[in-house]
Amino acid sequence: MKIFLASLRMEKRSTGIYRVDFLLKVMYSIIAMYGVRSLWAALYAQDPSIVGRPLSSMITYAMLAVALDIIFYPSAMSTAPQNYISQQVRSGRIDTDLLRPVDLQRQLLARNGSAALFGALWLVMPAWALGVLLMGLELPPTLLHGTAFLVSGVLSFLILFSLNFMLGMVCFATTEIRQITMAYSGILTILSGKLIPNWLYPEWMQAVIEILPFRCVFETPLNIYTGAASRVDIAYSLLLQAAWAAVLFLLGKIMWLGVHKHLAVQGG
Amino acid sequence: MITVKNLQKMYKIAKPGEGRFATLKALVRPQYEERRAVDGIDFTISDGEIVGYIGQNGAGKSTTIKMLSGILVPTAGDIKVNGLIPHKDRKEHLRNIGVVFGQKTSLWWDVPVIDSLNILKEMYQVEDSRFKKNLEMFTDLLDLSPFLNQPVRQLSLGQRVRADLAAALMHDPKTLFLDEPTIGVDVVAKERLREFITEINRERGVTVLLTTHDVVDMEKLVSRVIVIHAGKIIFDGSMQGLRERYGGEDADIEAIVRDIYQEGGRTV
Repeated sequence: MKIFLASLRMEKRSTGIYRVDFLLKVMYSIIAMYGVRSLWAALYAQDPSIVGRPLSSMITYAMLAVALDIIFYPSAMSTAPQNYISQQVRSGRIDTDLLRPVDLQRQLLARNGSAALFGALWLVMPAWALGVLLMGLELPPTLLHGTAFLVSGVLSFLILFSLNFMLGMVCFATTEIRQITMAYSGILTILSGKLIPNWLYPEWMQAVIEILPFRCVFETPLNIYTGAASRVDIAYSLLLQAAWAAVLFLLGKIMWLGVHKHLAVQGG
Repeated sequence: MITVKNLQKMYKIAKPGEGRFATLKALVRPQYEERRAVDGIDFTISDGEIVGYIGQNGAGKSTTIKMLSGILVPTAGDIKVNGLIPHKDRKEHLRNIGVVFGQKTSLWWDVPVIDSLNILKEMYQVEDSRFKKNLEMFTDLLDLSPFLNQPVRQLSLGQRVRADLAAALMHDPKTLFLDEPTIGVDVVAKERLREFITEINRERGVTVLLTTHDVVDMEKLVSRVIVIHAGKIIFDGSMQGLRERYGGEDADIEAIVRDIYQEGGRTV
């Protein structure tokens, strides 16, 4: 926890150092939010039945997805586990991480988590406020939906962290993960509900998406926020998210233990 | 106290096959060659000693340091450092040692030095008062203040090694492993590093094991040298002893070292 706080302070400072980067992200989110808003409005004008939801609810979903994407996009953060691991493995500095008395998975969770929290406060919040004030982004229907959205967002982050961490583990075997990352980002974009809400897919595909963890990253919190989820749905989705978060974290841990053993026996 | 008994480390190295389909064959069933990096070494280092560990590139120095730090598991033999078995009691052991690789930094690349130190403080659970005292002392002795707030990537090599040394000592380790700390550092900065290492050895009784290719390090810094050649220890004793055995009293250390590296040492 204290490592988390120290990382948070560090994140605050490096934002001061990489000011241009920060401003570009803010600008990107505004433009992208406006973009998806126009896209869905145009589709809706063609034929409301394509969208399958009221326009205001759809653009809320899409704009919030863009805002969340700033902190969730796989290659956006240097603290994301797969990026950090690939950088350390390629430069041969990974052994310095092994010299710490804290497990690598926990080290990375603290750093990535603090960066995500920082991003949520300083990038997503302003983007969200701007959306509400100027672009017709709706507020959650009830306080319960709002609170559940925040909880769900944290779980989304944990699920994504573990998926990314496992991708990082692959890096130990292959050194290079740029190609795999591209494929992975593609899968995440298509199956998580970030770009295309899952209810627009054919039924067989919805069934596949249903059993995969990806939709828990974007679709679950967004459905809660927009009020598409009932109370029962909320309870069920949060439980499902928590279960995925736990399972994937454990899987990541098991992979790491295997990699660590191999590293310790074989050398870097 | 460090005791090493019959320590061995073998690496498996992928062997390129021959013939037209070698690459394909290697993909299906890779062939390995075993290479002995450390071949049955013994030594004991008492508390408060400064020992130089020297040998050619590839002689097994770094492998030994990595096994002593617990990040590599020995193929055979025993190691005990301060009563702990490094690779088994990893976490506790790592709290008791400091490690610096002159070739690579263990600090976070793009954040200010002080932020890295703050995170390390939490990882090693260093008390506030202790941390403050150490920070003051190291800032003074290593003259860190000009670059404490600069990101590591902007530092000169000399500054970076100083920052790394401070980082490795923040948690008051009993033992310090330095892998070529003076490599690539200018004469003046080297002198300062030597003074610093001598100082913390004298004032705090920190045991130091360092590898180096610098003859002046050997003459000025260490009280004892261990020479490793092709994975085996061929000399263990004082610098005076090394001279007497290989060259005579006023022999040039550089010439002696060259002889040892080229021919495994000729005794006089």
